[in-house]
Amino acid sequence: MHLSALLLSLAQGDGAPPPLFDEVGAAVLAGATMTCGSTAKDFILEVNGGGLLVADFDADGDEDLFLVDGSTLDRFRAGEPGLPPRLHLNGGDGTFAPAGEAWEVAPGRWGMGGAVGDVDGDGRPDVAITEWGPDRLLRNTGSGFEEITEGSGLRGRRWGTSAAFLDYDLDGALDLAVVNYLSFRLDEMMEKEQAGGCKWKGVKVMCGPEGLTPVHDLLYRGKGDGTFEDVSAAAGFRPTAAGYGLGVTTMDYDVDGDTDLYVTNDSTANHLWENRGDGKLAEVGMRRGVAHDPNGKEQAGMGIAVGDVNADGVEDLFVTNFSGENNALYVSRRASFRDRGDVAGVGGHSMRYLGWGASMQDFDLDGQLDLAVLNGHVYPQADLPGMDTAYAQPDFLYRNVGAGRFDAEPLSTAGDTVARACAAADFDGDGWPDLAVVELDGAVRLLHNRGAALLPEGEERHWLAVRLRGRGANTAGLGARVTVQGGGGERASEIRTAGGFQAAVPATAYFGLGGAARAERVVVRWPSGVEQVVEDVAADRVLVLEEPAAQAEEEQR
Amino acid sequence: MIALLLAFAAAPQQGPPPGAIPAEAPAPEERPAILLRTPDTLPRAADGAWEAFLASEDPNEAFAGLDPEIVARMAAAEEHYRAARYPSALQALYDALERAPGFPPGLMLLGTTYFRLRRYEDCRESLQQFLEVAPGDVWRTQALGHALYSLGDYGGARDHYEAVLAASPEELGESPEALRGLALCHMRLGDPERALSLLARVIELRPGHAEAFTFRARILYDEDRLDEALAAAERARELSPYEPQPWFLTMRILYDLGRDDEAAEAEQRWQELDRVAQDVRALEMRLRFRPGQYPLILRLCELFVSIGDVGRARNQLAQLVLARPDDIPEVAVRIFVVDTLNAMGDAEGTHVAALALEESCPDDAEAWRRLERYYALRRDRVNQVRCGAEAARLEAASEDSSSG
Repeated sequence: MHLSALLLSLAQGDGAPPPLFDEVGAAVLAGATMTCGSTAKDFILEVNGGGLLVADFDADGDEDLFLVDGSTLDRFRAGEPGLPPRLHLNGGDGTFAPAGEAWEVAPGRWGMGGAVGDVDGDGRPDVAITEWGPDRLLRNTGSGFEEITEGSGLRGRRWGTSAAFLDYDLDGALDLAVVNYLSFRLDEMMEKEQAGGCKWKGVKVMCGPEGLTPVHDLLYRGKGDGTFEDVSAAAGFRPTAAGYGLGVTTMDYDVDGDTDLYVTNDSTANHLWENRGDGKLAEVGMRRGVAHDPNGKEQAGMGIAVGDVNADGVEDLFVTNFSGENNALYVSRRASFRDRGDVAGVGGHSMRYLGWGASMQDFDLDGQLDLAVLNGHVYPQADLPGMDTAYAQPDFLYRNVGAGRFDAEPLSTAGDTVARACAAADFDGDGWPDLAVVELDGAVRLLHNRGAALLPEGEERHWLAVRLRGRGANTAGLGARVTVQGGGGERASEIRTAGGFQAAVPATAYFGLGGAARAERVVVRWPSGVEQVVEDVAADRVLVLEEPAAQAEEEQR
Repeated sequence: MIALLLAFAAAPQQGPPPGAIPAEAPAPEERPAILLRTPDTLPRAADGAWEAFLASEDPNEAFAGLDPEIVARMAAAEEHYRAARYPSALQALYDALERAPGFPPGLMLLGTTYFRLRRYEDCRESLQQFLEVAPGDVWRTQALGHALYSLGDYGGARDHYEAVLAASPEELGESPEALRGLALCHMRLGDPERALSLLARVIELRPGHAEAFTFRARILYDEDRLDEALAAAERARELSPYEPQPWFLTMRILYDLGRDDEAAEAEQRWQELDRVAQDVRALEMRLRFRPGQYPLILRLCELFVSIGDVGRARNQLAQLVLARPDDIPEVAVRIFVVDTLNAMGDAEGTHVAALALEESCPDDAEAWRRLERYYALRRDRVNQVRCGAEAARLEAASEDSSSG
């Protein structure tokens, strides 16, 4: 009997519904592990884990996995580089193998996360890597990666965590936002340790982020040829006070046709960067109610998931936080957002857990967005008595049951682990979104969505995935808005690759259609403003749409 | 004595007293071993073991029948608890409960102590053990509702608060804190109308309940009833002017109303108070696990002074006097208290502190000189002269002894 089938039968045996996801990493992603410092976690540098960047790098029609690995302090002290990033290519059925020599990438200092986007308009997904060290840029040649950091204009050299490609100025060339965490200097940290260290609930733990210096984030304007210009100051991408940046996503929160940015900050206010449409950004997190919890307390913002949970046409934000804090579900309401996490059932439930990666997808294809949340503490000391939490923690699927409420259930068969970043993608092409997960100092996990196998006999669920081919240098149509009517409802999603915390996801919009075998209508609003409508679309396939010429361009022909 | 100490207040205009260290410097505290214990390791009582104790209508009589060692440990625990020495309270309680498994007052105080330490799971366990031996006393256990709420179990907390309120003896009436807790559960569970109605009852019972107004404002804001929300937030600010939360709500409501200038002013005040509140939370957390750390208490005094919060500054100055290490002269601390209160404009507190200085340091010329200045400022010539004379006498005696 196959392992997943065995686990399924065991889970069904105790009367509880089996988890939707089956952990199959050992079988399909053998030998893929991540390193981030020592297991003692004496320093804050050692707790973020690595990054997961998902895209079809070899253009064979399936989603590959690019792993951004870390390092150890022993390596750093010995003057050795970190562990190299590695690409694992998808065989088309959700099984992975290390890519060949041409795809090998030189190690950096200590990798964290990154972003995926076509920086030179050649149609191939390129890679930005964030590190404790210089930001890096890799050009995808179609048969391998070529490092083009030097001369690219990227000049961040601090501690980058997450990054996002976007076209904020709508010039067709992708721009890049890099989120920075804090200034980490080993000598400074050693001094703190020698002075008695830091305390959490009366217990000595690693120091930070409080007491350390946050570092400003960076915004680079892309020129469309793989080079960038730092426009952080010119674009106003400078908050009054820097935050300890951990996560980033792109979204058009005010539905005005341009792309805004949302940044989660650890122990400091989160930032919402409103795109003013004139090349400038304004920080409006406080004003829009997404900077703090509803009582005005700063939280430890980590991961981000985006989706229109209440189907009002405006995307909402889900943010994971520290143990002892509620995860937040910021739902759009007129002038500002309201945190409806508690009412939705995703807030109080998270109180014992420290959330990291998160993904909002219709995982059960019933037409409503669900939430996957990965958990794990930063302090091994969380296992001591009286902490009301634990180091290894369960992950949860919050299944949307309608009326703005979610029911929590175990996410997968993986059990309690110390999880970090995650990225959702349909790795095996069956239409049910799967998950890849970083386990701190452990194997990369692949959570296979076995929703089809769990459906009651005779019940069907259908899906539609939409990918775009833009006319300009923004070849994947980042920032486009896709609306699907069908299955008795209308759902919208933006095309983005930003995956929240140290992750990148495919530039694909996934839609569950429930029992409907066709979508009545698919509408794409391209970043150029062009609207494209496709009627009566058969389900259960990836719909690839080419950007039509703008009306004026058509008339000129 | 306690009343006198609590009447003290603070403001470090003349700089910190000698011996102060920067609050940023980590204290070399170790975690007391008792914090590694958990209540699930306690021995359990035999069925009905405490029935007679609980049935007794005379508490003195009930305690008289107990092992004196248990009574002594409970007394020690209570004293430690009142002084916020929670680890010491835990030690005494575990000692008592090892000798007398399931002793109801011990389990009750254990649960409350864990709640103060924010160990909510241990609080829950302790109070559930209490309910096993004293099932008829559910009305005493609203802290169990607080613990469940703090663990994010809003449904469980709601059910427990309802049980507490239903079981409350008629002569005690409804507990405003249980009602408040129940209201917050309904707020979190998505029943704003029920929450508002419960908060209205809290306000009826305690018209000055600032937190009830704050949460009323939050619920009304969430419901887009902005004008009503603003009125509630303003009332909360009047009742509790140094709490950041009402200012935060005021700011958000005003922004949503498009009154940006007023919102910006509220934001500025909120940020000022919030910065202090964050520091205070961090310091108080450290003090819970290791009470009596003089530098931390001093930092708390400074924070309350910085926002003009006389009430909490007074409390911390009283704690500062109690926590004074041996290498810092008492007179220095007590003069610091007088100076601080005086700088805050707290005439009543300054006077109490001056009387305490005179009573505590009668042989110190420096104390009398400070009192002389104090009475001069009050234009109390009689006391000014009296204190000046006493200072002169002590200074002369000191010169005589050093020259001799």
